[in-house]
Amino acid sequence: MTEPLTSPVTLVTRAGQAFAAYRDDPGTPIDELVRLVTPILWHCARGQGLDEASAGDVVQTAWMRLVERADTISDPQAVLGWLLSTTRREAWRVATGRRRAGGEIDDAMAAPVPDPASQASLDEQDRLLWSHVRALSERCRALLRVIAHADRPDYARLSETLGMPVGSIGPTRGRCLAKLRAALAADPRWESRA
Amino acid sequence: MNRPDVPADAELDHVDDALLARIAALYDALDPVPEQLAENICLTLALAELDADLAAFERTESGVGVRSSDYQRVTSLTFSVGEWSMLVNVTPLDGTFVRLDGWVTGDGQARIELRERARSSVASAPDGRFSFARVERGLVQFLVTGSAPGARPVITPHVEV
Repeated sequence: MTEPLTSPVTLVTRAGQAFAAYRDDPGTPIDELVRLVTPILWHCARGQGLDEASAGDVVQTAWMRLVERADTISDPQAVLGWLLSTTRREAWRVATGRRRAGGEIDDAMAAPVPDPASQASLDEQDRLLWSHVRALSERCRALLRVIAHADRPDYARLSETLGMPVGSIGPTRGRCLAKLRAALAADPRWESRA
Repeated sequence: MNRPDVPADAELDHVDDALLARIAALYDALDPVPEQLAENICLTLALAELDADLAAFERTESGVGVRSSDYQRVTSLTFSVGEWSMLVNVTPLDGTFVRLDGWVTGDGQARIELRERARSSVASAPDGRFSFARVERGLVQFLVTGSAPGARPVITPHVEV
Protein backbone atom coordinates (compact mmCIF):
# COMPACT_ATOMS: atom_id res chain seq x y z
CA MET A 1 0.00 0.00 0.00
CA THR A 2 1.22 3.43 -0.80
CA GLU A 3 0.54 6.26 1.59
CA PRO A 4 -2.70 8.07 0.96
CA LEU A 5 -2.29 11.43 -0.66
CA THR A 6 -3.23 13.90 2.04
CA SER A 7 -2.19 17.24 0.58
CA PRO A 8 -5.16 19.08 -0.94
CA VAL A 9 -5.39 19.79 -4.64
CA THR A 10 -4.76 23.49 -5.11
CA LEU A 11 -3.56 25.84 -7.81
CA VAL A 12 0.00 25.34 -6.51
CA THR A 13 -0.18 21.54 -6.71
CA ARG A 14 -1.94 21.51 -10.07
CA ALA A 15 0.61 23.93 -11.51
CA GLY A 16 3.37 21.74 -10.04
CA GLN A 17 1.98 18.66 -11.78
CA ALA A 18 1.59 20.40 -15.13
CA PHE A 19 5.11 21.80 -14.86
CA ALA A 20 6.61 18.42 -13.96
CA ALA A 21 4.85 16.85 -16.96
CA TYR A 22 6.23 19.55 -19.25
CA ARG A 23 9.75 19.42 -17.84
CA ASP A 24 10.09 15.63 -17.69
CA ASP A 25 8.62 14.81 -21.10
CA PRO A 26 10.02 16.75 -24.05
CA GLY A 27 6.87 15.96 -26.08
CA THR A 28 4.50 17.69 -23.66
CA PRO A 29 3.72 21.29 -24.59
CA ILE A 30 3.61 23.86 -21.82
CA ASP A 31 0.10 24.91 -22.89
CA GLU A 32 -1.81 23.31 -20.00
CA LEU A 33 0.33 25.14 -17.44
CA VAL A 34 -0.04 28.41 -19.37
CA ARG A 35 -3.85 28.16 -19.45
CA LEU A 36 -3.99 27.27 -15.77
CA VAL A 37 -1.74 29.99 -14.40
CA THR A 38 -1.99 32.94 -16.82
CA PRO A 39 -5.15 34.34 -15.15
CA ILE A 40 -3.54 34.77 -11.71
CA LEU A 41 -0.41 36.25 -13.33
CA TRP A 42 -2.63 38.76 -15.13
CA HIS A 43 -4.19 39.84 -11.85
CA CYS A 44 -0.72 40.13 -10.35
CA ALA A 45 0.56 42.34 -13.19
CA ARG A 46 -2.55 44.54 -13.23
CA GLY A 47 -2.35 44.89 -9.46
CA GLN A 48 1.06 46.49 -9.90
CA GLY A 49 -0.53 49.37 -11.79
CA LEU A 50 0.17 48.42 -15.39
CA ASP A 51 -2.15 49.15 -18.29
CA GLU A 52 -3.65 46.15 -20.12
CA ALA A 53 -1.11 45.97 -22.95
CA SER A 54 1.89 46.21 -20.62
CA ALA A 55 0.37 43.68 -18.22
CA GLY A 56 -0.01 41.22 -21.11
CA ASP A 57 3.62 41.79 -22.15
CA VAL A 58 4.86 41.31 -18.61
CA VAL A 59 2.97 38.03 -18.21
CA GLN A 60 4.41 36.80 -21.51
CA THR A 61 7.92 37.79 -20.39
CA ALA A 62 7.50 35.76 -17.19
CA TRP A 63 6.61 32.70 -19.30
CA MET A 64 9.60 33.21 -21.59
CA ARG A 65 11.87 33.33 -18.54
CA LEU A 66 10.33 30.13 -17.21
CA VAL A 67 10.99 28.28 -20.46
CA GLU A 68 14.60 29.51 -20.47
CA ARG A 69 15.20 28.58 -16.86
CA ALA A 70 12.93 25.57 -16.30
CA ASP A 71 15.96 23.46 -15.30
CA THR A 72 16.76 25.72 -12.36
CA ILE A 73 13.46 25.04 -10.59
CA SER A 74 14.13 21.88 -8.59
CA ASP A 75 10.75 21.60 -6.86
CA PRO A 76 7.84 21.65 -9.34
CA GLN A 77 5.53 22.91 -6.56
CA ALA A 78 7.57 26.11 -6.53
CA VAL A 79 6.64 27.00 -10.10
CA LEU A 80 3.59 29.14 -9.30
CA GLY A 81 5.52 31.17 -6.73
CA TRP A 82 8.41 31.52 -9.18
CA LEU A 83 6.08 32.81 -11.91
CA LEU A 84 4.29 35.20 -9.55
CA SER A 85 7.47 36.73 -8.19
CA THR A 86 8.92 37.01 -11.70
CA THR A 87 5.72 38.71 -12.90
CA ARG A 88 5.68 41.06 -9.94
CA ARG A 89 9.34 41.99 -10.33
CA GLU A 90 8.99 42.53 -14.07
CA ALA A 91 5.80 44.58 -13.60
CA TRP A 92 7.56 46.71 -11.02
CA ARG A 93 10.50 47.23 -13.39
CA VAL A 94 8.21 48.33 -16.23
CA ALA A 95 6.10 50.58 -13.99
CA THR A 96 9.22 52.22 -12.53
CA GLY A 97 10.59 52.82 -16.01
CA ARG A 98 7.36 54.56 -16.91
CA ARG A 99 7.46 56.78 -13.87
CA ARG A 100 11.06 57.75 -14.61
CA ALA A 101 10.11 58.54 -18.16
CA GLY A 102 7.57 60.98 -16.77
CA GLY A 103 4.53 58.82 -17.48
CA GLU A 104 1.70 58.70 -15.02
CA ILE A 105 0.76 55.45 -13.34
CA ASP A 106 -2.41 56.62 -11.78
CA ASP A 107 -4.38 54.89 -9.11
CA ALA A 108 -7.22 54.13 -11.48
CA MET A 109 -5.00 51.72 -13.41
CA ALA A 110 -4.15 49.65 -10.35
CA ALA A 111 -7.83 49.52 -9.47
CA PRO A 112 -9.47 49.97 -12.83
CA VAL A 113 -12.62 52.00 -12.90
CA PRO A 114 -15.40 49.86 -14.29
CA ASP A 115 -16.83 51.17 -17.53
CA PRO A 116 -20.55 51.95 -17.41
CA ALA A 117 -21.47 48.68 -19.10
CA SER A 118 -19.68 46.42 -16.64
CA GLN A 119 -20.69 48.57 -13.71
CA ALA A 120 -24.29 48.22 -14.73
CA SER A 121 -23.86 44.45 -14.57
CA LEU A 122 -22.90 44.67 -10.88
CA ASP A 123 -25.52 44.54 -8.19
CA GLU A 124 -25.59 47.15 -5.47
CA GLN A 125 -23.73 44.99 -2.95
CA ASP A 126 -20.89 44.36 -5.41
CA ARG A 127 -20.64 48.08 -6.11
CA LEU A 128 -20.44 48.66 -2.37
CA LEU A 129 -17.75 46.00 -1.99
CA TRP A 130 -15.84 47.58 -4.87
CA SER A 131 -15.89 51.00 -3.22
CA HIS A 132 -14.45 49.52 0.00
CA VAL A 133 -11.80 47.56 -1.92
CA ARG A 134 -10.78 50.77 -3.67
CA ALA A 135 -10.38 52.50 -0.33
CA LEU A 136 -7.63 50.04 0.69
CA SER A 137 -3.96 50.77 0.07
CA GLU A 138 -2.56 49.82 -3.32
CA ARG A 139 -0.46 47.08 -1.71
CA CYS A 140 -3.46 45.55 0.03
CA ARG A 141 -5.50 45.63 -3.17
CA ALA A 142 -2.69 43.95 -5.11
CA LEU A 143 -2.41 41.23 -2.45
CA LEU A 144 -6.15 40.57 -2.14
CA ARG A 145 -6.55 40.47 -5.88
CA VAL A 146 -3.99 37.67 -6.29
CA ILE A 147 -4.88 35.72 -3.14
CA ALA A 148 -8.57 35.78 -4.07
CA HIS A 149 -7.64 33.80 -7.20
CA ALA A 150 -5.73 31.15 -5.24
CA ASP A 151 -6.77 28.36 -2.85
CA ARG A 152 -6.68 28.69 0.93
CA PRO A 153 -3.85 26.18 1.64
CA ASP A 154 -1.62 28.26 -0.67
CA TYR A 155 -2.33 31.69 0.85
CA ALA A 156 0.63 31.85 3.25
CA ARG A 157 3.13 30.70 0.65
CA LEU A 158 1.84 33.11 -2.00
CA SER A 159 1.58 36.08 0.41
CA GLU A 160 5.24 35.56 1.21
CA THR A 161 6.07 35.34 -2.49
CA LEU A 162 4.30 38.66 -3.01
CA GLY A 163 6.47 40.26 -0.35
CA MET A 164 3.67 41.16 2.07
CA PRO A 165 4.90 40.30 5.58
CA VAL A 166 2.53 42.80 7.20
CA GLY A 167 -0.71 42.47 5.27
CA SER A 168 -0.04 38.79 4.63
CA ILE A 169 -3.02 36.43 4.43
CA GLY A 170 -2.99 32.82 5.73
CA PRO A 171 -3.19 31.00 7.99
CA THR A 172 -4.42 34.11 9.78
CA ARG A 173 -6.62 36.78 8.28
CA GLY A 174 -3.93 39.40 8.00
CA ARG A 175 -4.26 43.15 8.13
CA CYS A 176 -5.57 43.78 4.62
CA LEU A 177 -8.51 41.43 4.89
CA ALA A 178 -9.20 42.48 8.51
CA LYS A 179 -9.35 46.10 7.43
CA LEU A 180 -11.75 45.35 4.61
CA ARG A 181 -14.01 43.27 6.85
CA ALA A 182 -14.10 45.95 9.51
CA ALA A 183 -15.02 48.58 6.93
CA LEU A 184 -17.79 46.41 5.51
CA ALA A 185 -19.14 45.50 8.95
CA ALA A 186 -19.31 49.19 9.84
CA ASP A 187 -21.23 50.01 6.66
CA PRO A 188 -24.99 49.74 7.31
CA ARG A 189 -25.61 49.21 3.59
CA TRP A 190 -23.55 46.00 3.57
CA GLU A 191 -25.94 43.08 4.01
CA SER A 192 -23.53 40.18 4.44
CA ARG A 193 -22.29 41.55 7.74
CA ALA A 194 -20.32 39.19 9.95
CA MET B 1 -17.30 55.65 14.49
CA ASN B 2 -17.90 52.37 16.22
CA ARG B 3 -15.87 49.90 14.21
CA PRO B 4 -16.43 46.22 14.93
CA ASP B 5 -13.36 44.32 16.03
CA VAL B 6 -12.02 42.10 13.27
CA PRO B 7 -8.68 40.73 14.52
CA ALA B 8 -5.94 40.36 11.94
CA ASP B 9 -4.31 37.52 13.87
CA ALA B 10 -7.40 35.28 13.94
CA GLU B 11 -7.66 32.22 11.73
CA LEU B 12 -9.42 32.68 8.41
CA ASP B 13 -13.10 31.78 8.67
CA HIS B 14 -15.96 31.11 6.29
CA VAL B 15 -16.80 34.81 6.05
CA ASP B 16 -13.26 35.48 4.79
CA ASP B 17 -13.64 32.64 2.28
CA ALA B 18 -16.90 34.06 0.99
CA LEU B 19 -15.46 37.57 0.82
CA LEU B 20 -12.38 36.46 -1.13
CA ALA B 21 -14.55 34.50 -3.56
CA ARG B 22 -16.62 37.62 -4.10
CA ILE B 23 -13.50 39.75 -4.64
CA ALA B 24 -12.23 37.28 -7.25
CA ALA B 25 -15.57 37.40 -9.07
CA LEU B 26 -15.55 41.19 -8.92
CA TYR B 27 -12.12 41.47 -10.53
CA ASP B 28 -13.05 38.85 -13.13
CA ALA B 29 -16.09 40.93 -14.05
CA LEU B 30 -14.44 44.35 -14.03
CA ASP B 31 -11.00 43.55 -15.37
CA PRO B 32 -11.17 40.15 -17.04
CA VAL B 33 -8.14 38.37 -18.41
CA PRO B 34 -8.05 39.12 -22.17
CA GLU B 35 -9.61 36.17 -23.94
CA GLN B 36 -6.70 35.41 -26.24
CA LEU B 37 -3.87 36.08 -23.79
CA ALA B 38 -3.13 32.47 -22.79
CA GLU B 39 -3.46 31.16 -26.36
CA ASN B 40 -1.16 33.86 -27.72
CA ILE B 41 1.41 33.05 -25.06
CA CYS B 42 1.24 29.33 -25.91
CA LEU B 43 1.90 30.19 -29.53
CA THR B 44 4.79 32.53 -28.77
CA LEU B 45 6.42 29.95 -26.51
CA ALA B 46 6.02 27.19 -29.08
CA LEU B 47 7.59 29.34 -31.81
CA ALA B 48 10.54 30.21 -29.60
CA GLU B 49 11.05 26.69 -28.30
CA LEU B 50 10.87 24.97 -31.68
CA ASP B 51 12.63 27.76 -33.55
CA ALA B 52 9.66 27.52 -35.87
CA ASP B 53 7.95 29.81 -38.37
CA LEU B 54 4.39 30.93 -37.80
CA ALA B 55 2.05 30.25 -40.71
CA ALA B 56 -0.45 32.81 -41.89
CA PHE B 57 -3.98 31.50 -41.92
CA GLU B 58 -7.06 31.89 -44.08
CA ARG B 59 -10.45 30.20 -43.89
CA THR B 60 -12.91 29.69 -46.72
CA GLU B 61 -16.35 28.20 -46.38
CA SER B 62 -17.83 26.31 -49.30
CA GLY B 63 -21.15 24.55 -49.56
CA VAL B 64 -21.13 21.21 -51.36
CA GLY B 65 -23.85 20.98 -53.97
CA VAL B 66 -27.46 21.99 -53.75
CA ARG B 67 -28.25 19.73 -50.81
CA SER B 68 -25.73 21.55 -48.71
CA SER B 69 -26.66 21.63 -45.03
CA ASP B 70 -24.68 22.51 -41.97
CA TYR B 71 -23.36 18.96 -41.72
CA GLN B 72 -22.25 18.90 -45.34
CA ARG B 73 -20.55 22.25 -45.40
CA VAL B 74 -16.83 21.92 -46.08
CA THR B 75 -14.43 24.43 -44.65
CA SER B 76 -10.98 24.91 -46.17
CA LEU B 77 -8.14 26.13 -44.03
CA THR B 78 -5.10 27.48 -45.83
CA PHE B 79 -1.79 28.05 -44.08
CA SER B 80 1.26 29.59 -45.66
CA VAL B 81 4.68 30.98 -44.94
CA GLY B 82 7.01 31.95 -47.79
CA GLU B 83 6.95 29.22 -50.45
CA TRP B 84 5.43 26.70 -48.07
CA SER B 85 1.72 26.11 -47.87
CA MET B 86 -0.77 23.64 -46.50
CA LEU B 87 -4.46 23.19 -47.27
CA VAL B 88 -6.77 21.36 -44.86
CA ASN B 89 -10.36 20.50 -45.73
CA VAL B 90 -12.66 20.07 -42.76
CA THR B 91 -15.60 17.75 -43.41
CA PRO B 92 -18.18 17.45 -40.64
CA LEU B 93 -19.04 13.86 -39.68
CA ASP B 94 -21.69 14.76 -37.11
CA GLY B 95 -22.24 17.35 -34.41
CA THR B 96 -19.13 16.31 -32.52
CA PHE B 97 -16.53 15.06 -34.98
CA VAL B 98 -14.94 16.19 -38.23
CA ARG B 99 -12.60 14.61 -40.76
CA LEU B 100 -9.48 16.48 -41.87
CA ASP B 101 -7.86 15.97 -45.28
CA GLY B 102 -4.72 17.88 -46.02
CA TRP B 103 -2.15 18.66 -48.68
CA VAL B 104 1.23 20.09 -47.89
CA THR B 105 4.01 21.36 -50.15
CA GLY B 106 7.50 19.86 -49.98
CA ASP B 107 9.16 16.58 -50.89
CA GLY B 108 6.59 14.32 -49.28
CA GLN B 109 8.42 13.51 -46.04
CA ALA B 110 6.47 15.88 -43.82
CA ARG B 111 5.31 14.91 -40.35
CA ILE B 112 2.06 16.60 -39.33
CA GLU B 113 1.30 16.87 -35.65
CA LEU B 114 -2.27 17.74 -34.77
CA ARG B 115 -2.52 19.35 -31.35
CA GLU B 116 -5.90 19.22 -29.71
CA ARG B 117 -6.68 20.69 -26.35
CA ALA B 118 -5.66 17.71 -24.25
CA ARG B 119 -3.75 15.46 -26.66
CA SER B 120 -1.94 15.31 -29.92
CA SER B 121 -1.73 12.88 -32.83
CA VAL B 122 0.62 12.52 -35.76
CA ALA B 123 0.19 11.79 -39.46
CA SER B 124 2.83 11.38 -42.14
CA ALA B 125 2.26 12.92 -45.54
CA PRO B 126 3.44 10.60 -48.34
CA ASP B 127 2.98 12.46 -51.64
CA GLY B 128 2.11 15.49 -49.56
CA ARG B 129 -1.28 14.11 -48.56
CA PHE B 130 -2.44 13.34 -45.04
CA SER B 131 -5.64 12.86 -43.12
CA PHE B 132 -7.06 12.64 -39.62
CA ALA B 133 -10.18 10.49 -39.82
CA ARG B 134 -11.99 11.57 -36.66
CA VAL B 135 -11.21 14.77 -34.80
CA GLU B 136 -13.33 16.34 -32.10
CA ARG B 137 -14.59 19.81 -32.94
CA GLY B 138 -12.80 22.62 -31.19
CA LEU B 139 -9.52 24.49 -31.30
CA VAL B 140 -6.61 22.70 -32.94
CA GLN B 141 -3.12 23.60 -34.01
CA PHE B 142 -0.74 22.01 -36.52
CA LEU B 143 2.99 21.56 -36.17
CA VAL B 144 4.66 20.53 -39.42
CA THR B 145 8.23 19.29 -39.53
CA GLY B 146 10.42 17.89 -42.30
CA SER B 147 8.41 19.20 -45.21
CA ALA B 148 11.71 19.93 -46.98
CA PRO B 149 15.32 19.07 -46.12
CA GLY B 150 16.69 21.62 -43.67
CA ALA B 151 13.39 23.49 -43.48
CA ARG B 152 12.38 25.03 -40.17
CA PRO B 153 9.29 23.63 -38.45
CA VAL B 154 6.07 25.50 -39.14
CA ILE B 155 3.46 26.05 -36.49
CA THR B 156 -0.05 27.34 -37.14
CA PRO B 157 -2.27 29.49 -34.97
CA HIS B 158 -5.04 27.72 -33.08
CA VAL B 159 -7.97 27.33 -35.44
CA GLU B 160 -11.53 26.18 -34.90
CA VAL B 161 -12.54 23.00 -36.71
